[in-house]
Amino acid sequence: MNIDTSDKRRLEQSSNVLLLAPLTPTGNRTCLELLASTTPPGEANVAAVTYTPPPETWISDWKAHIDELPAELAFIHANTVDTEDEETSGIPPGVSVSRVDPNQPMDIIAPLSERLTRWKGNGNRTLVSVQTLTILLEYVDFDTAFRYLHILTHRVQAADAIGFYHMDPDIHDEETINTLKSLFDAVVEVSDDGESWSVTETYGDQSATSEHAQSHDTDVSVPDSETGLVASIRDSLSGVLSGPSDSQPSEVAAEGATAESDDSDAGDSDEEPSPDSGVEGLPEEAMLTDEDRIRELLTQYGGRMKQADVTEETDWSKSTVSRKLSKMEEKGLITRVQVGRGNLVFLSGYEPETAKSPFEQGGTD
Amino acid sequence: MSDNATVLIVDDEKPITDAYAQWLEDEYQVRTAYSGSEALEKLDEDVNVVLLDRRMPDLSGEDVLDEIHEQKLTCRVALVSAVEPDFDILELGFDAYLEKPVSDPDELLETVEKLLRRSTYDAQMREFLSLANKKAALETKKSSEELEASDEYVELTEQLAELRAELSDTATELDDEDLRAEFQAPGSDRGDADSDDAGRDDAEE
Repeated sequence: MNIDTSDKRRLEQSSNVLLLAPLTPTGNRTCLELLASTTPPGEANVAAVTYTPPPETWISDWKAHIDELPAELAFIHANTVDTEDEETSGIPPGVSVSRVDPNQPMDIIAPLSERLTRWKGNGNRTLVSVQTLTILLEYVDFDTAFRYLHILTHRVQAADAIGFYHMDPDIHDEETINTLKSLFDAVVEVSDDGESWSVTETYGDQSATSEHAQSHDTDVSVPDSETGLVASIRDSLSGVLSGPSDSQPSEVAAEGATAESDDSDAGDSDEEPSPDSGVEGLPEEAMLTDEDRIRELLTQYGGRMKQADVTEETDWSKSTVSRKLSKMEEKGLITRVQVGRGNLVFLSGYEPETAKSPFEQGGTD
Repeated sequence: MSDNATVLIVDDEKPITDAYAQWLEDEYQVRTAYSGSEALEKLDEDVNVVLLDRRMPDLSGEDVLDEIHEQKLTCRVALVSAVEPDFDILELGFDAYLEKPVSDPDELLETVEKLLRRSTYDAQMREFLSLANKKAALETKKSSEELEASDEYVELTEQLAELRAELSDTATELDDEDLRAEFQAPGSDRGDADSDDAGRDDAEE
């Protein structure tokens, strides 16, 4: 996605930007790209407030879409779900992660403020990413969320940083979104396909709105032209690393490696990167049960997605999806939460705590 | 705000009430009450901070606190008590706790000052949310042409921008502890029944 200079300036001049984008991998990608468009990664301090997908996922998404990690990176992970030890292995050294209670706004704001203060004067531009308000609104009531966001935006502004706050506009009613807009300097609206978008200044001239329709194909922001080269070298390297040691069938390098290719130096110690895609040439998808498929989709979406997106991704009918999800919910594999105008589906372990019934909260976990 | 802020001091021991009044009267409008029932008479929307003795004959401090919540008054309450705070009082819904006897005027002044800052923030925040609700309701109902032509809408936007700047100044004065306290019990002990949807419904009218 290309971002033209006038919009870029508009974003750079804002302290706090509300990002209305679908809760999909595409939407997520757009969020990261917009963040990166304001500042080259090598000159950026990024503090990310994450709710559902863990920092590890954020990092691998960033690597996939932007490449070079920010000069400074810190996470405030607002999720009380215990993460297994193996997950921390995805955190590069020098990246800090604070795990906090999502129900306590100040538990999120205090460590964030501390981080912003520490970065002050280090010569980089500071960016704050909050993903996503859609989940935040599940944890606290609207009034609290509004106050929390006010303090958050205030602190971001005081630190001369730029904050990007994601929200899925389809999930919340228009009035809720419009009310929240008052807290932000600018609103970016991204279309469902992530290809066109517009910037509006909340307190500025309404006519300053600009519309765009641009393709994702052009690479974002990252100014050094090496990127392409580096990336292709790394790709070929990872192809070598992930391939079987004795021979090098080209098919594996081309297909099987895509998912694993980001960690070029992790390839050796890891388990075999499962290129067992189908025992007898069967495509991998055919081997999956429907439930596996839904779980895979959920993982791909970062642990939560709209039920409507499940329908869209699978081409199953609404009622089929609903039936399958009900079954999975009975088995405790997923949780569905009614949010605004639709259902959000959470992979078990990713659901907001408040979504759990009092029963489960008291139970052993 | 503190220029014309009003503090109500409630204690059945006259000398204590009068001493507090003396410490505070240079800075604030001071009202005094020597019993719980007198406190209720002197309570209204103009009162910003209440210093409330917990143990009193007839109406206790807790009774007065209940009445404050009942009337949905937005004043901040400092409970003053010789009894060490225990978990049981956390549910009473007050904003600060002072251990009796308070012998240092500065301690009292600081407490009042802190509560006033929080109450100012809270009042501005309510106003801001209410204006944001109104603006959002208009935006939801009207076309952008209608909005541009609407004086009400233009005025709302200006008010919001102004209030936003003021809020920013107020928020700068609040430390993490103040904010934590403000987040502690939103809705439960405040007059904001409009905590969630109700607020937006109001705006629609």
